[in-house]
Amino acid sequence: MIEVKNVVKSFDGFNALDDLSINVPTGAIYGLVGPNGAGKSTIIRHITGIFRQDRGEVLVNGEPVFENPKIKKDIAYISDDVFFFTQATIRDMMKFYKGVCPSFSTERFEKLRSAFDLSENSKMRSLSKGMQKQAAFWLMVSMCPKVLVLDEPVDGLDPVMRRQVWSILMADVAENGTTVLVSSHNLRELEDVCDHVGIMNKGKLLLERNLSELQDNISKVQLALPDGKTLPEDLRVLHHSSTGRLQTIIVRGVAEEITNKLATCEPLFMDVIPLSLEEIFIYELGGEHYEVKDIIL
Amino acid sequence: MKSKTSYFNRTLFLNLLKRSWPIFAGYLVVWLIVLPVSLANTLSYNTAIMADKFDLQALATAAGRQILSAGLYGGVIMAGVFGILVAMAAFSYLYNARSVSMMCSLPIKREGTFLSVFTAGLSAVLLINVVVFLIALCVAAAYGVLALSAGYLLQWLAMVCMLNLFFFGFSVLCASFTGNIFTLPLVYVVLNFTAYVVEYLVKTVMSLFIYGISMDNNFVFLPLSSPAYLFMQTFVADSTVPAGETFEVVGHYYNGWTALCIYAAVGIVFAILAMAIIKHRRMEAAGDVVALKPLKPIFKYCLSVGCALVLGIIIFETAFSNSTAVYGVRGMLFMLLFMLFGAFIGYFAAEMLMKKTLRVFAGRSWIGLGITSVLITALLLCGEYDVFGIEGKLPDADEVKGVMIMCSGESVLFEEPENIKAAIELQRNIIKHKDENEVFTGNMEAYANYVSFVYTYENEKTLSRDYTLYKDANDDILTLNDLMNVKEAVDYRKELEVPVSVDTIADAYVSYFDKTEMTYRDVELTAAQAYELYTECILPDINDGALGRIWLIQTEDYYSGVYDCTINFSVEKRLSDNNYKGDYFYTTLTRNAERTKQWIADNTDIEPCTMGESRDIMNAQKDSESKLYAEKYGIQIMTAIPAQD
Repeated sequence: MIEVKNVVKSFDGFNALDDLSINVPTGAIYGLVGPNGAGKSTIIRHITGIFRQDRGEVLVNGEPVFENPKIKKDIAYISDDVFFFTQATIRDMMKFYKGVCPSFSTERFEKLRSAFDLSENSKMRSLSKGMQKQAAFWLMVSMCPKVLVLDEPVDGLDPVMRRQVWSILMADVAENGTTVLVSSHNLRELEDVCDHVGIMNKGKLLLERNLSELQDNISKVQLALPDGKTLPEDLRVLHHSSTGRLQTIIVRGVAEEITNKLATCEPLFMDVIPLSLEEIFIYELGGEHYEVKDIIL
Repeated sequence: MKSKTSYFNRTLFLNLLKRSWPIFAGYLVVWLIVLPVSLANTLSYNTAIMADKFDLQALATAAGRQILSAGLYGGVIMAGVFGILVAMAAFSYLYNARSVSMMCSLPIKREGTFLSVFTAGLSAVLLINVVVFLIALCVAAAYGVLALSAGYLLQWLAMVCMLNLFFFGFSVLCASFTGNIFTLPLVYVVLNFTAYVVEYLVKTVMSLFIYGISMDNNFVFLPLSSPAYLFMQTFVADSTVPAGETFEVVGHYYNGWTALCIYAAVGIVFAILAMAIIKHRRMEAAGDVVALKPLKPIFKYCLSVGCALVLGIIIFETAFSNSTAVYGVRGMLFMLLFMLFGAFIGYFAAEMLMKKTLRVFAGRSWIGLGITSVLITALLLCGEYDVFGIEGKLPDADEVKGVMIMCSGESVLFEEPENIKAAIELQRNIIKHKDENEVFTGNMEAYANYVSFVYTYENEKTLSRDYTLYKDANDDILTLNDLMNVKEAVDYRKELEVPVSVDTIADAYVSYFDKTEMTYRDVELTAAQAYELYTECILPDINDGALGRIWLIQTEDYYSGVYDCTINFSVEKRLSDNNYKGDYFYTTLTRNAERTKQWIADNTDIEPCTMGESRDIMNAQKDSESKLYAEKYGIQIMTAIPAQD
């Protein structure tokens, strides 16, 4: 279990993390989303023990991560921009990780060989960015981690390889109960794999839910009201648009409660459409003044 | 599963050795050339030149000097250069966000990572030292001097290992607080020489506007600049045994072991300090010029003051290189202006480097520059108006053991109390005449003498002051001339470091103005002649007060009482192969030196003429040449060149 409690981190006076708290249950695949500069990579670097927080606590399985090899040996981390020693081959890096991570499994490394179209003797610097990401994924999963922290893991991978990577990830979670924290801007893909989601903005967590709860708690309704009728005032409308008589509203709340309230207006037409994670992300952040702006050029 | 994490990780250790092998290979190759190959060459050469009379001890002595010199000079350069190269390789992970992320997410404590790569780097160079030592031993054995050279080689090994400890420790410390791989070597080089350079610059600035401040070579903070200290203050000395009147060199030794031990210990302290810094370092500082927050203002103000000194001096010297009268308050104000400009450049350059932007001229930044400027201004004003009493400082005669006065290439050490008092009194008068002397600053026409006073106190501390005296300003130069010719001064000049004998006189001649040919000529003397002239004529004449004087200023007595004729000889004593100790004697013949004059008349065909005669002849010749020149090219000469005073 990953627990981030009231963490504050500032860089030269700028608060990158502002009293941030996150809870990732054991065995969960937690999607951490947020706009650019929200602090996702920063909190990930705290969770992996790279940065030390100014205030608050970062715990994994109840113990602080920073300078705690006992905990860090169970954590594998793939950064958004992976690093390997300049002259090293994949085999060299495998030997390196095997030497520093006691849980590294050569057997698993061999098993995963077929999943990646990479030569062990290839120099890391000669590989493309996508291939380096594959190599990093191969090596990290071979470490048999209990916690896998991924920062933009499929960025740069082709569609087939993206699917391959997610497949390995899901299998690892299913077989070993690995806890996964993944940060990505590809919400469509996160939606398919995550069971928990946290949305960050400006160093804070806006919301943190089980994905199904999140989707249940916000609804998109299309309706047409008779003349003279207006929307009930107690609806928590996040977004409202209309085309002729047809209105589209994004409303916070359970779908059943919302339709019951709207029914009192005797709509001519009403349909509840499930919201995608991307839409939730956009509408939640819209309330935080992070919306798509209409720019006239 | 048992955790492998500890304060040492074998994989990291081996990984550095594997990644950095070209650096270590370079270190090995250079040392092989500097020591075993070079040693073999020296032994081979010396064996060849000793073909007639082979001397094993002499061979080992020659090898000993070379080995110890390699340990000192080669050691400092090699340890200094490769120390930083190895540190850059070992701690390169600190300077890049990607590598920081990878290395710091590993299940190893920061101390563990530090110790693994530190020991890898250090042990590699120490191991190479041992390999070079063993190969050098084989070379010595091949030439039959193993037993005699082993000690020197062991000393070499100890010297080089201690230098490695210091320079690697220092490099690692620099690595711990810098955040940029390109900044690291720059900071390392600068810090290695900062103390020496800053002290030199401060002295230069002070000497420009504080009357009498000496640009001597006595650097108080020199030990803080290790390479400069080791090169300037430690050396390979001769081990000698008495041999007749002189000494014979029987070996060599290094005189800086204490310093080396202290530097090695400091290197270890630096390494421990570096580990503590890295343990607490904010890893997000990767890429920053200065990685430690508390060091940022220090860096900013140091760069500001450093630029103030460097640019201030450069601009001042450039702007007034041909100036005739920049001194006193005016000089100080110009220097202040240039230093403030330098401070401005340094301050905002530091801000730009640290903030990684050119937009650093916002309101609050100027406060720091203002403080720096006020401090510089205050210090310069205090210096100019002698608030600290530097200009007027005179030693108490009772506390002075001796005073060395240097003027016009002559130096005399005065130790007699009355002469020390006279020297202090002379300095007091010079200070009193500051304004009179400074008026002549930069006046190329004025007859000037540069004089240095170096007082040595009973507690061995020293006080140095330098002045330029002008003949037309006051009588100080005459007083100095008298002081430089008191009996103690004359006796000091006749004492030579090598005893004078027929065997030690290497070269002797009498130089005089030949009035018939109107040119200067030398007459060579044999060693026996020179010895006879020195012992039987010159020394008695000096003792009678008829010879041995010097003239800082030319008066009528000088032109009438002194011959344009000098007696010169050098003495030298061979200490070992290519190693000689020598000294030089010269004196100017005077009318009163009867014995010496007689000897020259009896043994040479020299007819010396007085300084006045030679001056007149030379002037007449110049006058004649000028006329001929004028006639040839149709130039009208208005006046003849007047005779010098």
